[in-house]
Amino acid sequence: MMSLNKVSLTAVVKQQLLYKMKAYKSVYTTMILIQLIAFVFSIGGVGSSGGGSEFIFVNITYIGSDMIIIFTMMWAFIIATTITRKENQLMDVSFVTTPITSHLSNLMFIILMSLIGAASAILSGFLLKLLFIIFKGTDNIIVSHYAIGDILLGIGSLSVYLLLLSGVGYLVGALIQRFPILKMILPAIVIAALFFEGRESGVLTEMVTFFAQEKSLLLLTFKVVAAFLVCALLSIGVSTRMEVRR
Amino acid sequence: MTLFLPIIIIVVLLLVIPLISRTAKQPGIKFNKSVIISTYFILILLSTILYPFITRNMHTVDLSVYGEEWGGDVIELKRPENLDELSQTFEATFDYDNDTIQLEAHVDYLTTLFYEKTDELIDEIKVSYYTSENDKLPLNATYQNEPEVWLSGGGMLFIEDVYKEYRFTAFTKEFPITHFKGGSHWLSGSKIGADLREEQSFLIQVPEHVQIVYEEDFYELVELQR
Repeated sequence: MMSLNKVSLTAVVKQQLLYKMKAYKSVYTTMILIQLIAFVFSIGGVGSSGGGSEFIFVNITYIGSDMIIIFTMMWAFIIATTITRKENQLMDVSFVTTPITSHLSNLMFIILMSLIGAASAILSGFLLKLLFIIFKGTDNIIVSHYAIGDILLGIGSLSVYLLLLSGVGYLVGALIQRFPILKMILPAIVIAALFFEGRESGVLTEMVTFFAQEKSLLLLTFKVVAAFLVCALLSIGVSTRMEVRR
Repeated sequence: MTLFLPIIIIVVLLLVIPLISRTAKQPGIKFNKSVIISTYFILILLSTILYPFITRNMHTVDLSVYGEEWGGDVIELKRPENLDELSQTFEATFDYDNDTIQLEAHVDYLTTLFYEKTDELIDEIKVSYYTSENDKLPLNATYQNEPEVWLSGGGMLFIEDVYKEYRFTAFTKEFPITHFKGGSHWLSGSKIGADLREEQSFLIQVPEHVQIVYEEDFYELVELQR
């Protein structure tokens, strides 16, 4: 049956995005679960140092959201790979859709997911610290105060990193859908690459350094947006070759 | 480990609230994901809002003033060459009055060196150090005819024939203990050597006009704000 209504690309993408935000609630419950697991891993502190002399022994334990951030990064990557799964693609068939609108709505969802993930990871650090203060008392605790600008900067930079990881994850997911054999090969390649990189720094180290050592948020955003666009275009390119749904 | 309790409380809250919410009253036990998500976000937002109020009167660190960096295990306080010559020939007191002292550090230690410019000093540098609470008394000093001063965790040996220019006193002002990362520090050139332990740190007081030059990659040099 053909529809006589002419709908714009923007309207379709918006409709799909709104639908996905409601349908993918498990994405956020997974994030909460993962962050709570990270809480447990942060119980003993995310780092410590100590030393002493004949008079005194000083042990410093650092409490922060580092572990939560690492877990959230893993969450962003894994979730992005699963968005391209067949059952999720089938969801789009409920709407007037093309591969392009489907991808665009997915990418918009990923951007939104990165923002929400970053905000929750940074802000949950405060919850963790307050729990420490409430349950361990205020003795021997030195707190750091933050300005709103610091918090926003943290959220902004983490969003950008999450966007990068989810962009790569989305590409990996698309590749796996196109070439299912990659499910087996990709982990092997990654592990092998890590071994090689462990011996001497190679392309992977260079790539990580390229993003991780950028000190300017503006430049980092530019780099990540460029990388994200490349991943997105590659994903679309790979997926549109599978024109017929199998 | 006592943190297990609050985390369990949070998990229980996140599970119980959706269960007791109206929307969750459906046949069979079904969690309302929206309620879980909103409860969690309300919780972390509340924490963020309450954090500055709860921690208001607690010990704090002004990160912009007291940062922490990896530093060298040996720190040298070097005067310019002409002053070294003065010191070596014992012609004069340690008059650093060509306005520059250079701080230089070597590898792999974390330390904090405080300095303060003060108009109370005119032609001398005052070096103080912070020790543990058990040892806040002024340090003992002995003098020999050699321009060297040694500080160590157990005491200090002052070997300096121009000793008037250095006054070593216990640094009694309290600072967050995290900033007293120690190690062996050697202030040389000016011939001040120190073996500082974890709970110790230097305060160098210099006249207003003296310029301090240092290698910032190696250790933390903090201007003391009183």
